[in-house]
Amino acid sequence: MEKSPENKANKRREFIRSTARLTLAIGIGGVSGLALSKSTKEEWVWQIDPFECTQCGRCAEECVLTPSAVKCVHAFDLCGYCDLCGGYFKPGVIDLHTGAENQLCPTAAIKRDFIEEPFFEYTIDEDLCIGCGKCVKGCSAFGNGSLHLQIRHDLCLNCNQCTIARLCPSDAITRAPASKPYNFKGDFTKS
Amino acid sequence: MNIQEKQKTTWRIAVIAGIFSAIVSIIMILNYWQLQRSEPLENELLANLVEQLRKDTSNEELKEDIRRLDLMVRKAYFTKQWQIRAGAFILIGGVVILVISLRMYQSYSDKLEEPGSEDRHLGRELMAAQKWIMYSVISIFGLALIAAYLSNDKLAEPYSLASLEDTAEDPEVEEIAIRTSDDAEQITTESESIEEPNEARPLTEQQEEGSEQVTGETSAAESEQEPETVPETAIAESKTGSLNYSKQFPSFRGPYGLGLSNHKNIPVDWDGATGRNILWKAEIPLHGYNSPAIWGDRLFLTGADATSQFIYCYNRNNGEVIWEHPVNDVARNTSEVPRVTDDTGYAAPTVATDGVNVCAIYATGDVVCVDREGKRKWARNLGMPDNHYGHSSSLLIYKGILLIQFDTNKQGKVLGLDVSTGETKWETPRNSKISWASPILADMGGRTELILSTSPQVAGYNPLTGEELWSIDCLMGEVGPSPGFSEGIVYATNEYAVLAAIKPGQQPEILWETNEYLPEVASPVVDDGLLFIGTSYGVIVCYDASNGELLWEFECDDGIYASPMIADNKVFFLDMGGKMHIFKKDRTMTLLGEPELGEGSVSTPSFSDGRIYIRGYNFLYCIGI
Amino acid sequence: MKNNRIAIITFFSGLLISVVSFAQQRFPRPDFESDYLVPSPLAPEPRWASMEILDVVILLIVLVLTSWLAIKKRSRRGILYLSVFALIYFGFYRNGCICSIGGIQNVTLTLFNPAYAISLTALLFFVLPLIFALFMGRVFCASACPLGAIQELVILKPISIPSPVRKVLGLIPYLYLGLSILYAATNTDFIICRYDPFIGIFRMDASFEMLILGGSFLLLGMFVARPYCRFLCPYGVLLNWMSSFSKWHLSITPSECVDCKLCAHSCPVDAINKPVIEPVSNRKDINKFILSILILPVLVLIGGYIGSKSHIYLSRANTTVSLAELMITQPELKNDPDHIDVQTFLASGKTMETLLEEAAVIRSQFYYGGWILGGFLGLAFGLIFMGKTIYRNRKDYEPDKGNCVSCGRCMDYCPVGKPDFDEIMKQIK
Repeated sequence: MEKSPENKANKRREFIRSTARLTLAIGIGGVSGLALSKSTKEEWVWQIDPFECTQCGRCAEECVLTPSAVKCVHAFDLCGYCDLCGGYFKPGVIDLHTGAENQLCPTAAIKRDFIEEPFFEYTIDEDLCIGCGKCVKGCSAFGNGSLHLQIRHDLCLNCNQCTIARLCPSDAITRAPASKPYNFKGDFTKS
Repeated sequence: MNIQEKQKTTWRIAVIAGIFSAIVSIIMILNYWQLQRSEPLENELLANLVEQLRKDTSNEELKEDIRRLDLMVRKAYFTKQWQIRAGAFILIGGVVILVISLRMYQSYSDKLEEPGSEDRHLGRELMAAQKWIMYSVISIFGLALIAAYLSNDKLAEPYSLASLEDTAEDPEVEEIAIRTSDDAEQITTESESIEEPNEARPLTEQQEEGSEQVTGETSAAESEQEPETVPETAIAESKTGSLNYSKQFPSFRGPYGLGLSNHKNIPVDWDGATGRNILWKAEIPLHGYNSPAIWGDRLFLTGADATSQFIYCYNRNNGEVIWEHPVNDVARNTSEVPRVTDDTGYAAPTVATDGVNVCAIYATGDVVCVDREGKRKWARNLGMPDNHYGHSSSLLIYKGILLIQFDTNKQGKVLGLDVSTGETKWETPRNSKISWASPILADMGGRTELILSTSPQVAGYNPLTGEELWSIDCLMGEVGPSPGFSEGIVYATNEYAVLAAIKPGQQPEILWETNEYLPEVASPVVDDGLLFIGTSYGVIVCYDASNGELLWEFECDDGIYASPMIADNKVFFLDMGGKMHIFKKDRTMTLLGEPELGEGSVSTPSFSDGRIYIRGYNFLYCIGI
Repeated sequence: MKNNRIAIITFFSGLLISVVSFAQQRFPRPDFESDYLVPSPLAPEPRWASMEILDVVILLIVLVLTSWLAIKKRSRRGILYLSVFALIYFGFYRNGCICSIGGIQNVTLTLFNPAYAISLTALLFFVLPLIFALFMGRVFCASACPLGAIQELVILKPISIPSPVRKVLGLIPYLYLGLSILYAATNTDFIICRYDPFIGIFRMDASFEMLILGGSFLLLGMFVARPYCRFLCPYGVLLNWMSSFSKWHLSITPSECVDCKLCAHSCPVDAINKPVIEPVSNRKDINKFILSILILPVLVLIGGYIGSKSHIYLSRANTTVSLAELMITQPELKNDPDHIDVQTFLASGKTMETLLEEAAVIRSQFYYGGWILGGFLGLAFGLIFMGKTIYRNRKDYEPDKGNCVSCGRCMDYCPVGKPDFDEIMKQIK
């Protein structure tokens, strides 16, 4: 019985299968060991480097979310609190009135509050903001550049490959450690 | 309920759910298309109304209209968004019901297959599988191969020439280029362009000819077409000997700062007093001893006095100022004004350009970079150079790095700045004394080295990292002349020191030395085994570059500060009185001409096809036939 | 001249050309006299900051449960419920992102890109299903994979696809796997994620084209079971290798097979091998087998050569390379103010030379990657061919371990051991 050809064939087959399994196990072990030696406990999130951003407008259009998870963020400590705000008013504005004819933001997401003569505070209503970056462009061109675009992580789905990162013409969107998920202007300076 | 009834009910549910889902998806698709097409936030009507209001600012009614329309537009946008989201949920619900009911329907009607006699031989099936696998592998590989042969490597294409000709021949493109960049210019000179109805010519030339031009209208337009259109692609050729880069005159003493220019048809006869062969002459608002740098149709130079600093961009075809850029707002750590002597001034260093960026440095230590249109990219102060005459070392740009030799009384160093951001890419301290020489780039067979001359050492650096590659001590005193370079040999010199031919390398060695005639300011220029030197006491000398043998000498009335240039097989020496001494580049002396500029000059002439550009003390001259 | 300058300045400001300022303040920060406090921007935490660990735990639980259900409990129903759960949790709730299939690319990127380090959870997501497949079969496909689950649930009336067609379509995943690794290694793109047909459905938001693609896959999936899993999924290739040699794969029947063929008809993915009786020593077959071994290295070389030849068009997917090519072939684009990529490049001040150098580096990566990719495909195709020249005689219906996704339908259909077995036997007879 033990020496029957069928049994032999079975034994041989079992041996081949075990060897193959061992090889595959070593394969997985090798690859994952290599990866493990480099791995981090930290998760990655996507974030915009505001100094690289050129406000091309793709963030508003290409994010997998509608409206985009990219929102305008205001670094108040950089703001000049100008009356004539390049981020709030259309270029060549007629009078500094908050009417729709003067506002640059297509969704009226910027709130303008009087603080004291001659200063005004500008805050972003992120529910309305679509991340088009028009105000950022205006603020960078005429003001201190305190308005800037950031990915909002309460909205971001943290896709494995961020669509806007791939399409960003200035490669401003990169992976950031989840412990430091924002590059706010002011705290974040270009190294 | 028996099975058949159940089956019927589930079928009905399925049909209803199916129709419902189909309708929802059709509505959603329509909604999506509408949103895609109309883009409510980019409403044109709204933009038009705002435009109207700008003309009629007091129209309150119009204002109200705009506000109403704006509100509507935003409402529409957010409602659409909400509709899509709600639709998605409804659709998913519909599909879930559809799938469940269909599956239930299916399970009620499941019939078991009749067990037939099945073929237990694999033979035929295996054969077929083998065949099909073979065919498809062959076709996958075949397709890949065909695709590989059909796709040619565009990166390897001789893009410089191809793109150059393409755009130059196409007046359409040229016109767009001008529209986007020089829109303002076009408006101001539109009337003039109508006066000259020459249709074959692109718009630029028409405008330019309309303005002040001394002579030579036609040649100006024809020979200068190409570079203007392709500066961006042209920068790609910053490699040695590459055609387009060397067509430009991007820095002090030409490409790589070697004193060599590839341009041909250089005039040897002119007269500043009578205007003979002077195409145009333009006054430079602010003084400076720097020389013009040229890229395409634009010529860049700087000027400065104790209170202000400027970069000027001239149209090199007619001498018109295209833009001027003030550099007075750079934050410095001191409010002092540097002390400079009259023969060095506040703006001695020549600018460097790569076609996209124009960088300048001043005696104040301010470094500034603007784009072709004069728009500031960045500016920073390197710290006031401690320099008793004034900082005079010119700039070079290599592979996106701005190279600065910064040897002062305090400290010597060499820096590489990122030309697009101004960040310091590298900085290498040098154990050197102060110098006034400018850096050069040398092609050492495969790698490019940055070579600096100072007291006491001559040293080579990697221009990308700043790493010092070699160094040899051979000079002394206050080094003014920049090094010369030809065929792997560096030639360094200074008055009261030595003229040395150095073979660079791990162990640099001095091949020969001489001290017969040495320059004080003008840099040596070397080509085809001949080395030329112009001294501050007015002697022009030609050495054999291989052994230092003196081949010939020539004495002029004035001293020479401007560095000699070699172009078109001729050597050009400009003396301080403004007389150009032109010799054949030869082992024996042949004087080809001694034309006068009519104004003193210490600036090194710049060349382009058929032209010489010389900055005198006050005026900028374009010489050509 | 003066006029010109002013005109140009106004023109530029009109165009709103931005000067990115490096913390340079044009307007000083005001000194407020009132007691206004300067607020700081809100920084909401990442949405799933702590959930990643939970995800791994849930994955592990689902895999263990499925293995138990498939091998010990033999419950199709349990597996089905688990897959519904996976679809809802990993699919609709977690929006399909963190996923083992995409994990291939993260692992690759870690190995090839020194700047990227994979997060531990992503690595576990990649490794766990493979380890389970090596011992229990493709239990991941059965219930943990949301992509598999959504296709599993829409299977209505699966048709059996002839073996040769299946084999040919089965070559695609190898190609997809190779390409996705090539593109991830060169840091070009994550094509698996980008062309995931179902992710748009999970997120209920995607580009129109991708939603249509997902919908069509589901429609197709009603009649061709699991089209993505079988004919596209690159992770399926790895799982297939593991599962082929799995130690305790599910068995169709709990004891003796009665040759009723019910299971073969129940399997939606044609992963049940029927009994075979062939004459043992067929000279021709043996010759073919030997031949296929011999041509294996040749195939690897041919594949490598073709792959290396293909590097030019393969590298066009890279944005740097395509931009460089664009600048060369269409230099007039620099005058197109609406071409964002070209304009941004021009404004960046990066020289064309630097761009070309970068592109050349990526090109050369693609060249060597092309050799490896081609060689891999040659080897894989050769081995698949070789697999078709050998066979083994079988008495019973057995699962095709490599392709079986452990959905458990066959166990459900197998009459052996069921209480009403006798009755069914009677029916059959």
